[in-house]
Amino acid sequence: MSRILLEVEGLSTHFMTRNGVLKAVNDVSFTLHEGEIIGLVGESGSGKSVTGFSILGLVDPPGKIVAGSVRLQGRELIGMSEPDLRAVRGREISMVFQDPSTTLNPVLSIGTQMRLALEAHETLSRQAADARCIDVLNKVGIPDAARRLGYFPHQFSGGMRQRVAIAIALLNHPKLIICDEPTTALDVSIQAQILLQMKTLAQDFGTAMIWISHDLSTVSSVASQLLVMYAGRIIESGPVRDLLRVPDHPYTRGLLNSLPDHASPGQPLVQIPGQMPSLIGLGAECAFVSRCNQSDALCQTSPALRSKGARRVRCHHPVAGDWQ
Amino acid sequence: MSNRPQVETPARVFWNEFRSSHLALGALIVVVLIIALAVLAPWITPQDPYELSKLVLMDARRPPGYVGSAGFTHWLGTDAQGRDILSAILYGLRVSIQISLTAGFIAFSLGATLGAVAAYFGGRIETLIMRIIDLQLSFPAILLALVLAALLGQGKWPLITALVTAQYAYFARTTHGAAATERSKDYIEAALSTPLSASRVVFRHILPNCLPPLIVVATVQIANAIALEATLSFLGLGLPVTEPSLGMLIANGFQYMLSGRYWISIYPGIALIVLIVAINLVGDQVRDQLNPRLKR
Amino acid sequence: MLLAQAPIMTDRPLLRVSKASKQFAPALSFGDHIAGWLGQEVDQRIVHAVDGVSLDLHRGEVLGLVGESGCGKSTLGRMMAGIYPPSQGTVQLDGVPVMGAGKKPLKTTTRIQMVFQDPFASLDPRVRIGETIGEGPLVHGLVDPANVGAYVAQWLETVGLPAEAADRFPHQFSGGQRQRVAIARALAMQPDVLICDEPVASLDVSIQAQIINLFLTLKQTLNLTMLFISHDLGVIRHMTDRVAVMYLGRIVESGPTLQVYDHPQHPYTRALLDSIPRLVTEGDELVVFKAIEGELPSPLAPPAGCHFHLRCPFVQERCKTVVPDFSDHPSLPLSGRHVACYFPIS
Repeated sequence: MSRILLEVEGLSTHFMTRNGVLKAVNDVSFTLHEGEIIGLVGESGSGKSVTGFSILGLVDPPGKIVAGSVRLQGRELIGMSEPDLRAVRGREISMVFQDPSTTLNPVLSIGTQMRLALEAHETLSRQAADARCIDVLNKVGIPDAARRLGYFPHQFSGGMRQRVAIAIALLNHPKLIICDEPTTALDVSIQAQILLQMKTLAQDFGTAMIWISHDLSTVSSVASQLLVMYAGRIIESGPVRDLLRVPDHPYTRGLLNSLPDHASPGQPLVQIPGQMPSLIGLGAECAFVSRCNQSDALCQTSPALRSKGARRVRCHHPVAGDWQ
Repeated sequence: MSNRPQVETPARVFWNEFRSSHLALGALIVVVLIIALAVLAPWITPQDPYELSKLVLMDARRPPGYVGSAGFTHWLGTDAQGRDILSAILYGLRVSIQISLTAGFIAFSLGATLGAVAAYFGGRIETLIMRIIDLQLSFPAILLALVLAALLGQGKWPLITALVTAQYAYFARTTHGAAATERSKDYIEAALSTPLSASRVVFRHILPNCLPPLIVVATVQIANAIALEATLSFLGLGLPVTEPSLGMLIANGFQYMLSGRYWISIYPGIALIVLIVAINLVGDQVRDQLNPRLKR
Repeated sequence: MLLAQAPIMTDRPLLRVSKASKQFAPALSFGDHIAGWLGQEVDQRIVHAVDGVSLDLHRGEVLGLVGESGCGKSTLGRMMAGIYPPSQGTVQLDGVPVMGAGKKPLKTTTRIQMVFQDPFASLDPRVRIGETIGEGPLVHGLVDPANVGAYVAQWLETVGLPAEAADRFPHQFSGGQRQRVAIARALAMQPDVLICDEPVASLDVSIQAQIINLFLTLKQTLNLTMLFISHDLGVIRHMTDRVAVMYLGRIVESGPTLQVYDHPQHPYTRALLDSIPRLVTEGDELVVFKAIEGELPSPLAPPAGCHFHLRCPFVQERCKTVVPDFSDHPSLPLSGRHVACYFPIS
């Protein structure tokens, strides 16, 4: 196994709202190795995106990281000064968002934007900078890159814009890219192209990725490890194939069984009743208890994270036995 | 019947948020208080300033605190005709508020309807209405009001007409912008696919959803109307001298300013400023709450 | 079984789309008009959203309309729902046009209703749920004012919401519950045809299954005829009897859903089916998918000939100039397969 790149331990991010404390991220821990792609899945409001932002220290009031540690190759990021954090962002960790138009400046050509991203972290001659940009644009599948450097974001299609955003994220050869729903806004045929490309790029560059998505199938197509989040907590994790073959948490199992692929056409789908509880004022009980078909008296207390080999589950009644 | 459960209506949510701003709440109380005083003026003032026969010339131009011949104290002094300033202010406010609210209401209804109709129908109708409004907005409102007031002569309705003409365009413009956004939303398409009639879609669905920006414009425009009315009256283009509004009170006292009789102009001026500032403070809070971009 | 659910065959379709097209031309600004008068060429930027589509919807069937974003499926759905008039061609319900004539035509029937994608946008935020559902039926005399409360309660119950929901506002509900309200509003008009435009796309995965199950139940209990628009091939396969695949404004293939999925004949259908990552175990690979090469062409300037020819692996000279067409035969038998391709995959 390669070396550990990122260790997240007991990370908790809360939002102080008018109606009370919203526990968006609640005691999240995981480890990411160099070059590894980890998938972070969950429904809206599960805390998956806030987890991504918290790692980069990008939490604005009323949100606040209240506990935990995030170590990048042993260096603690929580509590690091803003200038130091800025040096980490973009150079060592970069981010790709769902909507590339939020990260690309509409009035600057992409060449200018890419050079600015480079110059933020090192001094390069114009030629050297352009060569780097063209190289990265070629790698993400943008043909005729030299000419496209002069293009503005609106001159690209949605899929191409997302490729440019990915190219900018790759520019400084970061050790980690956090991708927040990078293909959700794209067409299915374009999504497939980008998924395949990202997988190859991660291998070529040795870049680790945290791939955040609500879509189990896209995450599973790129990631090797899966983290399933529910109501601010990681409720299950493990190697993708293993976890999808035998999901141990009733929520993961329910989610997989509810996909139309798992029923014959026209027959009712297996559905999880109810909806996710409000993250404000979560009680001591398991957050899934009201929707779970396995729940009993034990579930009135929050289950601890239990492990079995590379698998973790936060449930009193996991499907298979042998849990510690 | 059993009482219905407390429903979290948008209005209630809005009020709870409004209440938490002490400044805005204070301003609202001031506005309500001033309006209440103005409405109740005939019953609470010691003197009817419009009843010329009751005025005693001997009491003219007396300083604040002077006990007049009728036996009551003129807390804010008297003017050149022997009017009690406090009574004159309350009656003046009554006239100012009455005129600006009437003008504001008419301008609101007219402007909102025009704007929503333009946005709903689009095409030529939209171009025609919005070009006229753009043309009108390119002139300063005060200039338009001045010309109209001069043309129409003195009196309540000419003044209201001048104010409406000067202000409806702001409402129309705002409504048009908001309505054009609402027009393209799914719930309007849902109403069209039911189908519901054009007038129902405009008045039942589009207009109520344009209310937030309109309310903001309305508070600003009411304050503007009060100021505009005061300006016109100050210039002698407003109401007849027998029914002095705040602007005219200020104008009447102006000539005595240099002789040290400041109270005739200053106190009506202060009343005017307090009212306008309070309305604007309320309007600011309303705007902050209704503008999603300023939220959180 | 699927056969048991097969729609009743009738000769005449309930809803017929004949060679319908829709172009959107953004309104020219005043400056553009002046430039036009002065002889300047003005860029019209016409979007060809739907291009000569013929489609039949038969009583009792669920027809799927699948395609990527920008392929015109939503526009076609809105034409069938009587929200947009077609630029060319007709949309007829039982032989009668869905929309009136004239420059600003209005929908003339209440028998077609629509459910929209985003339940946060499709409900008027200032109107109580009960009024939203009851408004249409009241206006069109489906219920009298004395009974509207009970009528609304009945439809709320049908979609799985408590009767008390009528007193609340949309913002007090979650996405799934709002979509139930939107379905209740459409059903309360007692439509013959329900057009559903991506009704589960904006919902969370665990909620999607709830709404799909609701549609399945409603279809059986109310014998609904539905057009189900989606980009999600899994949902379409699960929900529909027949499917039409759209690419850049045209229908490229149609046929019974399972046949089309198991044996796609158009290269695009094939590529689309292959490009979706699906959690199906095949051999050692857990997730299998292949990407389609190239970009989606812009609907502002669609390519000549077959719209797919730029990305098609089997392209020949003829594909680049002549449009392969099956819209000449509007009355197609229900069970038939149709493919707009010179070189279909056999």
